[in-house]
Amino acid sequence: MQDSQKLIKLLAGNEVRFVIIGGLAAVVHGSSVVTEDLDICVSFDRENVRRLLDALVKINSEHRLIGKKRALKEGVEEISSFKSLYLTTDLGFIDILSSVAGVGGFNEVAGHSVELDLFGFKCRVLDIDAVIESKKTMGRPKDKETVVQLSAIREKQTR
Amino acid sequence: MNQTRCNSKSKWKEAEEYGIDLSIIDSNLRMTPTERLIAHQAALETVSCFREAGRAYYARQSKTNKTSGR
Repeated sequence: MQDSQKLIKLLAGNEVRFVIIGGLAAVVHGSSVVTEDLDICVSFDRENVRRLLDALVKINSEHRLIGKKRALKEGVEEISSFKSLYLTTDLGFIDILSSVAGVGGFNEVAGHSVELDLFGFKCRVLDIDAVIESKKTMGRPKDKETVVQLSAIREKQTR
Repeated sequence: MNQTRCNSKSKWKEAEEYGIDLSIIDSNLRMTPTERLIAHQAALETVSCFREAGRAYYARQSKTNKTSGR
């Protein structure tokens, strides 16, 4: 069962530098579209990867897109060279990216994020304009409804 | 020309025409971000319950079909 709340608490509690992106960022801004994973953008620098791995080993993380599921066993050095991780864990699915389409790498993503209090932690979430831009850039049919909803919400906010 | 016309149209109206239930969006906008995530989690759990019920139903159907030789 996906429990993004516990995943967010785990990452924030381990002081991982991350920005919530994708469908849950859209939910934070008011979208009603239900999503079944947690997407985050992180800095893949060694210190942040070390904190990330410390969190991920506690929840039996496995690679989910490499054929047969395989435990996440790579070390800090190797993971630091990755651009993304797609994992299944005891708390559900988590996609960990180093960049966001239409926005850029972690620094640009962080620059287009807002800080919010979530579950007792200060968390960064991609801002509404950047979520709309990223979903438009990806151009997937499944993102169309989210773009329509967020564009309407954005308009209401600026009225 | 079409672009101008499209841009001048209200996004809220566009969303309504797209079929979005704007009362749900309005309700979401009255919540805090944390409340939105909690409501989302509840919705996800509901979806999961329905999915599980569907799985159980089709598993029973399949068993019944096998028994009756269908």
